[in-house]
Amino acid sequence: MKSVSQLRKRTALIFLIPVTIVLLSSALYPLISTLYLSLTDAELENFLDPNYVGFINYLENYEGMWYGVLADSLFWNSVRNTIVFSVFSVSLEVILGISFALIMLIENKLKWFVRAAVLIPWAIPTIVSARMFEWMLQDQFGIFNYILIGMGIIEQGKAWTTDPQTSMIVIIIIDAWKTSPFVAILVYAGLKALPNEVLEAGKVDGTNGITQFYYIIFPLILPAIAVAIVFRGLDALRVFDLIYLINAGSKDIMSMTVYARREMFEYSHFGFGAAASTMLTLIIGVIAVIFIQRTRLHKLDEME
Amino acid sequence: MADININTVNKYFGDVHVIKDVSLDIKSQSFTVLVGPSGCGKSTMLRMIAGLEDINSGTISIDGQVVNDLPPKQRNIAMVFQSYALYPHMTVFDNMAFGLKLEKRSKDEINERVNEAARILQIEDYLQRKPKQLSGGQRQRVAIGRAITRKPKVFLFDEPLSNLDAALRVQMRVELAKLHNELEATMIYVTHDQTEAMTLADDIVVLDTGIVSQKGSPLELYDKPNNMFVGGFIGSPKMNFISSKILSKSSDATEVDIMGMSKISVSKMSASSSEGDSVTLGIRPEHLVVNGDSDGSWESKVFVVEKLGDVTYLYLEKDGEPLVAETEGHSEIKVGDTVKVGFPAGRCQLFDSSGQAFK
Repeated sequence: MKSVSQLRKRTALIFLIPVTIVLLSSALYPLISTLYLSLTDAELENFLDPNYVGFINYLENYEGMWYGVLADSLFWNSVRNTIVFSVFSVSLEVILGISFALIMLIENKLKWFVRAAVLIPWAIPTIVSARMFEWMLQDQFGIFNYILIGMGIIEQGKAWTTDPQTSMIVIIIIDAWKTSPFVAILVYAGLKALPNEVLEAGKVDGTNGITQFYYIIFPLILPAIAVAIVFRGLDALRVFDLIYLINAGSKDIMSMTVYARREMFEYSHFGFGAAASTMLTLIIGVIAVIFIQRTRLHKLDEME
Repeated sequence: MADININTVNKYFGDVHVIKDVSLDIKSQSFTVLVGPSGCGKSTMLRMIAGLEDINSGTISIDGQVVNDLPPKQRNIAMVFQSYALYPHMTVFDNMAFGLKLEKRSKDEINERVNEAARILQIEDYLQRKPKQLSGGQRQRVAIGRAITRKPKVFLFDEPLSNLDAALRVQMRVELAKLHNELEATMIYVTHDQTEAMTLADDIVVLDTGIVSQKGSPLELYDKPNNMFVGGFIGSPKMNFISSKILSKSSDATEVDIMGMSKISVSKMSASSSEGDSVTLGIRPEHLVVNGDSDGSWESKVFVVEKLGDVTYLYLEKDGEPLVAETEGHSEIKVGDTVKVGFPAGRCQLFDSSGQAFK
């Protein structure tokens, strides 16, 4: 006779098999093969039969000069871009998301309209929103320049998306516009789950709108905000489509993913690109672990 | 301190009229219990006094000042909620200090008041814990402590004991009574539990579908219910109601029949009644005389016997009229026995066909 707990464990293992297979084939296999590729001299000519070359794709000292991903200033530039983009876009998204969620909470006849309107940017494919903003910001015919010129703020049209001074800001704003709804939905769910009596107790204790938010609502929705930050943060660190669509070649906004893709598929440096991809994975992994540790997100259940 | 005057107040939730022209005067320092079945509007009344619910018409004043348009914090009230409604992210100390902190009191004053409240409620050892680490009874104390620290004119309690187990409920009930004596504050207490109402109240207000059915001291309500609703609501087990007919009327008494088996002359009158009218005779189980001499009597088989130790309840039935009678704890009566039940005339109530009591 097997005990009930043994049987339960066995059942649990059986149920875990399918997802394990899927994860192994879809995540682990590509990861390992990329790792392997990064240790070879794979290019288009020898892709099927590359030579093992060790870590020279990462770093190599050849006749007194440093080579490899880690020695490429463009790579570090892309790391810096990615981090700047992530920090500012996620911050902006959290602020906007909380604001939208609070607006969505207002009970009136327009609430369905408001809730739908908040979601629209999230529903639009990135290719569409990127092109949309590109046209609006276009230097000769864009409505944005037209308005600014009309108001006398600038004298002639500015190419916002290609100008080194503004392109990063533009990217951050487009991303915030596009993904704030995601944060809004998470925070809205958190707000909806707030116990009404606790808010009423606050009113009796003398809270007004601001103190209620600061002392009661915000601390209670913090877990929802932390979850939103983790999701959005990891997304932002992997950003590709928006930057690729707006300006694929500009080093001012080039992200780690765009850098890796360019090495692999434009220059056909598969080994080198794979090394860049591996570094990208490592960097994101380290940042994620630090963030989750710091916010104690993995201990959320015990907090409260 | 603080009188509360409620003057022809009405409240609608959409089309539903939940409070209908209610007027109430609540004396300063009294313990008033609003009681009634679910949906009678008692919690809504309390929330209107607190300022958590708007009033559609009428006025509510506290200490002579109309508070209709004042937010809760300006009404000088504190409220204890059914779910305790503690701030889950704050320690016990911070929960109790929160109101004072918002009033920008000094640190010393906050410390002093919180510690004082903690001492009264015996929760000094838990001040640094979070609500989640406390038992239901401890949370309840914190919720009361949060109300005490602010020294309000009026305490409002919304079914504060209903989430506690039976033993703790009795204990907290006694403590609340003590607290009322110590604090000398006006307390308004909502409950559906008539035992809580009877034991705690100076005044009980029985609400029935948004109308004040009767207001009075616990014993007034017990002895002289205004109507069948109050008669049935106060007392446990419920008052027995038996359909009956007026046989004759004299100048100070009304003679009615009991199931055609006997008749009884009750010294209560109603001007609008006349001979032959259908009436309802009400009598409490504890007032029936089992197998003894009394004014009128009734015989029935016993269907169920409930032995509670101190008393025994007999469930009787005759021609579809159920009746519960109380007798001594160590009764020998068994299921299937036939008993004679006596109706002492002085304990009988009469209600007309609309449920109003004869006076």
